[in-house]
Amino acid sequence: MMETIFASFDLTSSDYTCNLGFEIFHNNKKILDINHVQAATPVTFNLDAEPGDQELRFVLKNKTSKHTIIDDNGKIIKDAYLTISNFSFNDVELNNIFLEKCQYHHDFNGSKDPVVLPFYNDLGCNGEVVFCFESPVYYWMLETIPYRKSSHV
Amino acid sequence: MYNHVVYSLAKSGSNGLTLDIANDNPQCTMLHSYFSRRWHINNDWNKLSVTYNEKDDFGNVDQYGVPRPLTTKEMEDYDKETAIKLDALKQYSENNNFVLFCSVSVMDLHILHFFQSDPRTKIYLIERNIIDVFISLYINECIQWALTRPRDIGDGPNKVFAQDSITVEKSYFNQFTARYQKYTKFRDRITFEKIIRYEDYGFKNSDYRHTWNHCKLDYIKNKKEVVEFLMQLVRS
Repeated sequence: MMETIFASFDLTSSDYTCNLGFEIFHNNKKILDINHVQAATPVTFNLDAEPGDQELRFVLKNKTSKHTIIDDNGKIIKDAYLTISNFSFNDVELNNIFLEKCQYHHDFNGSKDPVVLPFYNDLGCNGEVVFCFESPVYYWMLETIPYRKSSHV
Repeated sequence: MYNHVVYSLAKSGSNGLTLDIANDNPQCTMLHSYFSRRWHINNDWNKLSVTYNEKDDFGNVDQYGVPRPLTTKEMEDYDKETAIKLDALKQYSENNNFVLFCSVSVMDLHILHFFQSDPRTKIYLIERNIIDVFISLYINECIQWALTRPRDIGDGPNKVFAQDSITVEKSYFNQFTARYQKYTKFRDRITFEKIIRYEDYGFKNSDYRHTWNHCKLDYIKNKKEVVEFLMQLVRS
């Protein structure tokens, strides 16, 4: 049976003067497109989900090399990035579950080979964070929390 | 020759697993619910090829076999008796092997310490999906079904409820918290011979063969409250 999931999170930028853009896809369908994140933005949306695997993709766009300032030693002294925080489903905050189920796909803004890395709330390179979950979402949440001893036979 | 002890939070198949181990180890005496207050799996022990002495059990039931709640005085006496029973078990185990399960609601650290430090005792952990445990316990202990459940549970109806028909009372959250915290406190101190997932285990005794009801949360009206509670509980 299809369920409607209410999702929400806070989207912020380290530098609102940079025209960092942001998109969300649900199962490859675009559901949000912000060309320039100009202020702290509470993001809310409903997802109609059939039982089974679901995917949300959070895309950072418009990042350029001008947004990153590096000193003579190669150390980043200023950067522009977006932050996703307080992610909730149906008003239940997921905390670590959200981060654990996300993977960050990017290529260091075209400077290196593509990589898939853990996600730690910040999107600093053009690319996408893929978040996988399942519907019904309440069951998925309870299956995902680490309540068991680690080794099972 | 080993003793076998099954440990679980609740409603996680410890009865069925204990019966299976007992059948696989006929040299062991079945002290299934030695530390429980009542024998609550009907007369299944009759079908076993192991010895079970009903007098070993506290058997706290009325004339119809319905569990009788303990008074405060009885609870105090029970705590005293735990020490006596532990001592008796120590003596018994010198010449005998046994199978039993530990119910977290009646188990204490002294008993587990004895099991843990006894090289002839193997301890097993069986764990079940937390929402199944939470709701099953609530249904079995707190709602009208529990009050009117058939005396012979084996012949009773399946527990099927309408969607959104059960509201979990706030007081139950506190009860479950106390039970879960006691469980994890003990569980994390124990070295287990084997850790088993209820959902993956194939019970050999037909009474415990089951189809996993993966829709129990659908019964619950205050889903958000329950999910939020369990997530916070497990994280804490």
